[in-house]
Amino acid sequence: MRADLGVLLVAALVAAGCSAAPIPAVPPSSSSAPPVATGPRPLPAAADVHPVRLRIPAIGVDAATLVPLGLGDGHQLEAPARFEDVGWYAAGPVPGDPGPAVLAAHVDSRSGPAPFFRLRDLRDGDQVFVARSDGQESRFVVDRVQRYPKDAFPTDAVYGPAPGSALRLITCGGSFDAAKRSYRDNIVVYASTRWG
Amino acid sequence: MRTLPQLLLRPGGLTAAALLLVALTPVTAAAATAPGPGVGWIRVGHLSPKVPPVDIYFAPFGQAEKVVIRKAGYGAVTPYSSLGPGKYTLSMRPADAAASTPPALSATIEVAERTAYSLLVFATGPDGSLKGDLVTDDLTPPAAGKGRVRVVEGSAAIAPVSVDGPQGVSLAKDAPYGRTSSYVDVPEGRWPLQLSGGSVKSAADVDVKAGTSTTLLVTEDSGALKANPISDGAALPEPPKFGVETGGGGTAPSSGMPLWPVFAAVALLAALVVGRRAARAR
Repeated sequence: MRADLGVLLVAALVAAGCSAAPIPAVPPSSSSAPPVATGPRPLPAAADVHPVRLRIPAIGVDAATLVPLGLGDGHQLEAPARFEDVGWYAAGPVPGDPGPAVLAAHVDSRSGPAPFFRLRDLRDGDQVFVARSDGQESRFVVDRVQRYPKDAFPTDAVYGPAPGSALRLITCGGSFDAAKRSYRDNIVVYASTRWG
Repeated sequence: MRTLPQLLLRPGGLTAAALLLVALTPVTAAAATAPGPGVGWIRVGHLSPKVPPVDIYFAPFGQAEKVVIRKAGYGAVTPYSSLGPGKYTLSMRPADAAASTPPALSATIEVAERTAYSLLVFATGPDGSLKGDLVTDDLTPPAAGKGRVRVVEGSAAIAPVSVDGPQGVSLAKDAPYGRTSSYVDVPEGRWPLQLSGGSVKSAADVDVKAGTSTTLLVTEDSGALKANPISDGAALPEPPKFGVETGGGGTAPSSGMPLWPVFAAVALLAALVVGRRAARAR
């Protein structure tokens, strides 16, 4: 508790939240499908399926709820508003559907560890389970854990197309910039489906 | 897409112990230092109508094979499996046959990083023997608002097959059995497709989402043509930029904070305590 006090006091003097360096605004890539007179019919509305539980036995993660995440002004993925939550990028695929599903959570709060505190400890072959609101549970296997400086974040590698169903788990790492109240790096876990 | 020649099985089907080992070596390999997961992906499809279900064995080259998929029947395509770059062996044996049974099909596959492959097994060898085609699956995003579709012609008795849609969209034209067509980008939507092989015709609605790649498996079933779309992959519809701000710093060793010298000592103490706690937690 005595450790927490100091940190909290400092935090109170700085802007609330774990905001960081201003991120240059990038216009969202607008996708306008050319209208067609005849041809394919519109796709039916997608069923409202969302992830409901995340389990990573190797690092003791068992999150019983996941909150939806969106994009901020600079088109960057927003972090969960509460330090204790695990978030899911709701504009992307549901874990288990085709493409890279993205989950993000804090590595720590201002006072102690948060859900992805030990994400950096994951190793190739560790298992990740995501249960969905439609009853399906998907099993992923960790391919690689990478650490990237936030100012050199490889957007294409992390958020680019993936074969089959893939998963990205993201949190903060590296050293902490106290002035900006921000970690300098991101930890990214890449996971895929795997036989056997 | 890339198709390589290889032969595997003599007539007589799975019971024949004929075995040819073929190296399937794709061309490109990304730099090992490129950011990303550092893996490739493979899946296997059974598209030989008269061949009963098989067990699929897999292992890094030179190591003992293990069963990874059981009872894959005609028309089945396994999920992708990620694996490190390198050489692997893949074998097929009749379902439930002993692991010591000579394989009905065996291939050596060279897997490159950041590349996805489909090993599609047809009965297109001489006299109807089995033959595997290793095709590379597309991992680039289609143009905005479009999805990418290709056809794998897996019907042997009804062939060649054409697959057409409205607006003059042609996904496959007189494709012979065993052919994997090139990808075609089409606008998102539910596409009413016509499958035709000679006098046999059937219709199929196929959903194409923007940003996705789909392989349409055409198979035969009691004299009819069937279409089964499987996903090759997908891009995020609206990929985020940059990283994520996911930390409060409560477990980080503090660094100075010159603007608040009053708290420096407290912060230092916090760093020591929390740092030790973090170290123990590792």
